Amino acid sequence: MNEDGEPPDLGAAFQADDEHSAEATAAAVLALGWRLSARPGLEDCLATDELDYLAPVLGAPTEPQLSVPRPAAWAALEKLGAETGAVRGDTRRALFDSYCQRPDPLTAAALFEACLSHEQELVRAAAAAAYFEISAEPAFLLDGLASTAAYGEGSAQAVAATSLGRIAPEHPVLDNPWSAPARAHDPVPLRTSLLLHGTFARRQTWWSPGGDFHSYILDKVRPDLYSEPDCFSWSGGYSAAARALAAQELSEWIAAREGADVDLFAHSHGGNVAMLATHSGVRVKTLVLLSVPVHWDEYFPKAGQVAQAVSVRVHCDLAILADRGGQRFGDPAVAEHVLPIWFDHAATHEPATWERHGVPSYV
Amino acid sequence: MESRATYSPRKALTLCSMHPIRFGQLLGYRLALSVTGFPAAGAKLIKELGSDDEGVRVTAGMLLTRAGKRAEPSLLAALSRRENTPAVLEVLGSIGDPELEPKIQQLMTDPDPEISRAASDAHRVMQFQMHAPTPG
Repeated sequence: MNEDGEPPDLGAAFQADDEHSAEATAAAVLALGWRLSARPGLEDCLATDELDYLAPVLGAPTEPQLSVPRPAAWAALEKLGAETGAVRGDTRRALFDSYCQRPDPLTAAALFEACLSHEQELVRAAAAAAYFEISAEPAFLLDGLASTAAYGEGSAQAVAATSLGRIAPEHPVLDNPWSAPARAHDPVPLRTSLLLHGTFARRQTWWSPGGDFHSYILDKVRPDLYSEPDCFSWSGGYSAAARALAAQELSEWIAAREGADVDLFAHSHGGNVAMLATHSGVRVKTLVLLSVPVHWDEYFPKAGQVAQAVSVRVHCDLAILADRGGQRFGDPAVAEHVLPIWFDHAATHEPATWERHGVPSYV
Repeated sequence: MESRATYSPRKALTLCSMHPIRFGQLLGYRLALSVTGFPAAGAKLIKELGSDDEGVRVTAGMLLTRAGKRAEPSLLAALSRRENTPAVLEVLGSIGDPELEPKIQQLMTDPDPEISRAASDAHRVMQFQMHAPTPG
């Protein structure tokens, strides 16, 4: 809504890619999908002013319940000079205008295809849900919805999970503890401990609930370890930007769960994400830095935000060598423990290492 | 507070998961890639992104990222043949070349959830980099 409480012009919203326009676009796309499905009830669910706003896409389709093959939709897009996968805003606008003038399912399918590559995840989720109503190849749309339901965020995840629940209520992702329904609930207040993975490790399982290191820490070291399905993860990207974004998201994630004075167990560059997050207000009781590449000029804890810092590492960690980071902190604020292991970057998040070398006593 | 152990090369080789000789090989591939843009060197590093050894995987990813634009042709070729695609996307996101944004965006709707998630993450990082530049 703008300052006057009015939603944006629909045509302009289809052309734009900001978050505000995305909400309007997603609403129109979902309503269009409903209309094309020929299922009743749309008018009952919307207020008069909402129906008026969405009226451009609510005209009776010329050929109801037609199944559109993807190549036909792509051909319609190509006629407008668009490449599938990277459709520009003005092409979406042209398709929207075209559909308003002549509401045929082929144009709608091309518009949905265009919205599948929209900048905003919310629009992509809405397009997948709507396209399902008329696509001759709905399987890829279900996969897309399942992916967003499982991994998406905010409104996009809610739209995907709700749509998936309507279209395919038995879909396994809806029973998966990582799935949208669990994340869509109110966040569980953070207890005291959290695991953070490092670079290129988001797809690993050791740090997530059920993973070997997570289970070990939970059972043997910190029974208060955060174990909800919505546990924090970051891109694992190997760049300063990826770490800065992760620190910002970690700070927001902890704030949303009313966390204070947390214990953080962070591996590799996850430790640098943790230290960066202390500059955004995150307060840490015990910061456990596992095989963290030291870049002290860039990543260091904010004074007063960390009560205790412990580093656990191996000798001559090869991944840190490749990173060109320092192996040791050399700062009295960080208690350092070097395990009698050489080169192995992963050793410090292996339960066997912790058991064999008594690491729990350090933390 | 620091506890140190005596270095025993033979013991070290048995204890570490990534053999130093393999590490040396990776560095060699990186050097070849950086100096010559030699595609076979890039292909070797990309293959190691799928290694069972976390140290090898992470090191290969770091070295490819450090090679930057030199690594892009090899990474794009890997995308085309769908080799280690999520990891390749993580590397491309880390390199952060805005020219590759459309290619990454295209994969955000891939039917494989691992690929679409990796593409979305890479894209988010690139957007963050473009709009909120950070040092380094």
